[in-house]
Amino acid sequence: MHSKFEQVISIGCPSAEQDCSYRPEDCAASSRLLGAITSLQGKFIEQVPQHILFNDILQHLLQLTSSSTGFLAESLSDAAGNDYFKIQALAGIDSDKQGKSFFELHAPIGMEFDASNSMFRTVHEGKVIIQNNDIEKKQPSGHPELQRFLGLPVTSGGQVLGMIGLANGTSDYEEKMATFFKPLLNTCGDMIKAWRLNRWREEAEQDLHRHAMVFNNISDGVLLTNTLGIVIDANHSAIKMLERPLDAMVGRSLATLLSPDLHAMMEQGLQKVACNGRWSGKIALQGQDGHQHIFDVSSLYLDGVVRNDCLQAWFWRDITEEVQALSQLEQRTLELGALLDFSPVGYVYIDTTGKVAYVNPAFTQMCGLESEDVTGNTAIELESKIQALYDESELPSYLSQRERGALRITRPHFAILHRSSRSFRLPNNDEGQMLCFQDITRDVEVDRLKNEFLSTAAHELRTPMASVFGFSELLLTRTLPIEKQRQYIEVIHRQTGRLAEIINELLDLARIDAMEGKDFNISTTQIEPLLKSALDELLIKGDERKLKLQIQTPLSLVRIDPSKLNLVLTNILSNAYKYSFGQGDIVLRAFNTEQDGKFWVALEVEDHGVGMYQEQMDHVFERFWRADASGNVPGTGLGMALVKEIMDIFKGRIELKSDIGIGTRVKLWLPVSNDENQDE
Amino acid sequence: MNNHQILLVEDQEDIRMLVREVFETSTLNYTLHEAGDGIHALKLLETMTPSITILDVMLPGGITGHDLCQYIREKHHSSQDQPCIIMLTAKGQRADREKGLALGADHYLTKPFSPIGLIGLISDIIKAQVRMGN
Repeated sequence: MHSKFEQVISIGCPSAEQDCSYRPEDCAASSRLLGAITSLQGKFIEQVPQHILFNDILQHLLQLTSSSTGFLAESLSDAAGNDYFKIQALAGIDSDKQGKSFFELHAPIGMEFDASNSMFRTVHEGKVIIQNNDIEKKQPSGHPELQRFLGLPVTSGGQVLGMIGLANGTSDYEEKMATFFKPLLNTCGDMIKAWRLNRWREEAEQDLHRHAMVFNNISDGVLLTNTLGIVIDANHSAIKMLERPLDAMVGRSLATLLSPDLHAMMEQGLQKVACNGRWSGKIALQGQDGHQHIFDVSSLYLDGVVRNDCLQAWFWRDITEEVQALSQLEQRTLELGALLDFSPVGYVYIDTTGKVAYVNPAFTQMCGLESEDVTGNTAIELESKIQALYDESELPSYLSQRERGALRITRPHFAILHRSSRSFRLPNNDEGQMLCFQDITRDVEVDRLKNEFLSTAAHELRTPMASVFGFSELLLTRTLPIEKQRQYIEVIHRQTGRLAEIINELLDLARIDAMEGKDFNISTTQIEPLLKSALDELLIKGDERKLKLQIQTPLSLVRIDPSKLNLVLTNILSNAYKYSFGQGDIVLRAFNTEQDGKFWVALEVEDHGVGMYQEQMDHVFERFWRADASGNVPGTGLGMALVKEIMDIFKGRIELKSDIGIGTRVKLWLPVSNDENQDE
Repeated sequence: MNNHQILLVEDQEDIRMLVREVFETSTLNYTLHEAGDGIHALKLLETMTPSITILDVMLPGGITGHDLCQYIREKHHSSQDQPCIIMLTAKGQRADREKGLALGADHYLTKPFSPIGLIGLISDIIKAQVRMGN
């Protein structure tokens, strides 16, 4: 771009014999020059656009020098500091040949050319270029219109701000022309300088405006202080955060704007920044709304921004919500952790990579698999470890069917687990999975016992009912002799009594089960009278056998419900009666004893009846179990179950000894009342 | 008319008496054998072949009505004339009934039962057996 113009200039031709209208001595010329300057100054004041003024200057110079063409270029510097000229105005008087002047054709407005070229460097240094080429040296291929060239520096305060190039004068250009035109060139330089300053100011104002917009509109609070901590400026966010108007902050020490306990912190911030240019910390301020706000404050040293002083910027960010959210998260994590730690349900979390990331203590306890045994396992590896906990041969004998959907393990101990799982999508769209293991062993066992009990109870009720139903049907449909009728009615009567007995004992048991002894009237009791009356109730008319009562006196007091103890004794004594089939005496002994460091009253009922096998003794306390299931011995099979329940509530013990053909001995241990235990 | 051999295995004396009584009031030509437990029943089965066996399920002494039912079926598995087995039990749940029938019982009656109904059922069975040429 530069080279083209250089070429254009270098081929300039020497002038022909032409008339030059310029005469320095000419008063008319001086007066025209003055007029031009005055007119330009007037137009400048009126703020006539720059290009029109430039054009005017050129027109005046063309006329004063009798030149046919000219340009005005402004001296500029690029970012790298290289100087160049940029053509800002063009003018031509005799542009008749091609309708345009030489410069319009070869160096249009906006064209830049290098100021380091030797010729232009001359102008750039403030000197004049004059080329008055000899017409004889004219080259045939050259540009005849550029025979003479005058380059004039445009200066202001000694600084070259531009150049004016004039060509094709009617006579040779002279050095003194530059001196003559100096006032006009200086005026032009002053104008360029003024425009330039104006442009810089506008740019600076725009910059400032832009920065102020950013400064005031960012959500972070920004405070500027000097190195002593005196506030110089604050943005809107900072004003809001510190809840003080700007003028209440500017000129004051930042530390004094904060509560005294934060002064030291501010001081530390100032020192730290002074040492290594940066500091950050957290500051809590009590807001006027009564809530505490937490700020993340960082400070930065801004070197060289202000002449003769250094600025320190303080950036404030309100992190109250973040801190709150974080603390809520922490709390929630703790709560969740506690929940998982104490939950009886076993939990296994399989993370987004499909590996076990967490197991809770309940799972560890349930399966005997430690956290480190399974953490990092894939779901399949975990499954095979769980499957390995099951060994059919270790199953308890009463279990034969698999519960639907339930998981069984036999190690570390037998358990039936209900397994469920839940997948959930995490905020990042990955999927995690929680496996839950619930120990339902007890539920299953309770269910089984309940079903078994119901089925047994139904069976036991149906048996006497069959007699009642059957014999009454015969009575209704058959004509029977009176003795038969009587016999049938006796059976019905007996079996109805048995039904009532079963129902009563079932209700007793159900009540004890439900109330767990809460309806017992337990009191510290002397039991001798109870023993006597229990024996009296059992005496059977016509039975030859003797009931012997052996009481060690005085018996210690025990805490029991007398009516329930009576029920216990009646059941045991009646069993002794029933299973001795009319032979042998029955003895009831009562004595104080000590065992396991505790004091007890022992009640022992001994018969000389048929006795039991060990296998039978194992079942004695089961509901509906009968030593004789033939129906020949009256009873419901609930008596001993009741005895066991009541003794449990009394916190007592039962001991059973029996030999086939010799007899049975039932020993009850009742704990001596606490008061007495303490006395002794 | 044939004398029909009938075996009643039942541990409850009252029920045995009920069955005995209802047979007595019927017009059937029969001989009723009674057993109060499984062991006694097995002994009887060695000496006689009842055309009808009435079995209680829950029996003392370890041998149940189910065991006896299986025993009779196995004993007669090659015979053309299958003895009729009636289960008469207080075990009334559906699973119990299914088990009884699966073990080879022809009829499953639950207690309480109608003695008149029972004798009606037995006379029907006898009539059918007579028709078959038994």
